[in-house]
Amino acid sequence: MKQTNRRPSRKRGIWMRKVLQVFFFALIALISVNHTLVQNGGGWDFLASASLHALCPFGGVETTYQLLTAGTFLHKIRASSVILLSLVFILAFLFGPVFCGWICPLGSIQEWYGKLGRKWLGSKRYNHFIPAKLDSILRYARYGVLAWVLYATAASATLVFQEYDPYFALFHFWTGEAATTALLILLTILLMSLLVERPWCKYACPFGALLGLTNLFRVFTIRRRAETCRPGHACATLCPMNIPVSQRTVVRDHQCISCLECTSEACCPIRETVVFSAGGAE
Amino acid sequence: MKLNSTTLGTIILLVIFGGIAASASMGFWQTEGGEHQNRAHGGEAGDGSHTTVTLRGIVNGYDLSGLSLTTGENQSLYIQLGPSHYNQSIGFAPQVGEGVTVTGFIDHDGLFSAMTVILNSTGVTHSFRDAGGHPLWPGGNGNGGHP
Repeated sequence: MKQTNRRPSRKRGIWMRKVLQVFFFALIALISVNHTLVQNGGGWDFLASASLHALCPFGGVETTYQLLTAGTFLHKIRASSVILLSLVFILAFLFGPVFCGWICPLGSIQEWYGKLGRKWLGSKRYNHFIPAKLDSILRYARYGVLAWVLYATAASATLVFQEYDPYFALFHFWTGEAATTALLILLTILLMSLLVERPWCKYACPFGALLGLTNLFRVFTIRRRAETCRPGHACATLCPMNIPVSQRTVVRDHQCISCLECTSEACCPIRETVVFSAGGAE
Repeated sequence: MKLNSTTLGTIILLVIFGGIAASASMGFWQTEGGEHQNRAHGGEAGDGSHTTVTLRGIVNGYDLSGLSLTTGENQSLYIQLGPSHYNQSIGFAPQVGEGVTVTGFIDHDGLFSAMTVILNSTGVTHSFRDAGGHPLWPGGNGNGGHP
């Protein structure tokens, strides 16, 4: 009997990632709601001192300058932000920006809106609206945002980005604390997500910009075996970040979020063709 | 060496959720600044029994949502106001070097939240929270602490 390397016909995505996305979204939402309730005299005491700032690793980036120069944190930033930032970086050095692909609630909600867009427009049209040349230029804009946030925060010693931060707006829109600008940015992102997958991550996220740099030297990376690869390029069509996986043998693109969707059965029908591994020739 | 998605997910869950849980159990969610402010002004963060405090100081920074003050004891304090749109809507625009009198309380985050700020040069009072500590901006009802 002829042995085949084809996967069974039942197509499976990366279910573990979907579970973690829901888990972390629910956890952060719960903590944010509880924070409001505690300030009203209710809520759960064991979560009383937790706020979104305490759980945001990007807060660790924002406070770095003040921590190095004055030995203190920016107001609202806790030691936990720096601890989480360290853990996120350790994971990124090993596996790439898994924070973006597996944890970040703002990334998750864009992806969920994106599913509606994909259903509405179809896989071939969705996520391919922006002309390739313009898209490749816009993808560097997030480094500009990162540079501005770092400079403005260091110069003012305050959380300047909070006024524009869609992540803060997402979990504070009911409190009145979120700035109108941040709410408008969040709304724009959600609407854009119906046409383009993860628009904030691709073009504007300062934390994604920083973590994306680890793609250049991370230990585990996406590898494609050209000898078993068949035409179809589903890995490139389904990649949320539009990385042409089918044209790479090793993916070191600065936009990869390590979602591993290109390695899934839903994406590549041939076993051991697109894998997540360490070592071997580049 | 290959890694599958289930193993990667388990590692991520253990590292990040473990980090959050460990940070919480070791008290790293609490602000250093907040604790400092509590000690300086006698408030008790997180117990719902805040006391109202009035202090005078000189503005050394304003970031649209908060004031950095230097108090008479030469201490640096951050005063949490309201969201920028509210602060601007009530015409609050202090200048660096201006003297102010702030009445407020230490909230559950350990931050000093302003109820009123008086600009000493003009005597104009700007209100941010009511006597119950509740924010005065639209949608902010119930957002304050309980002085």
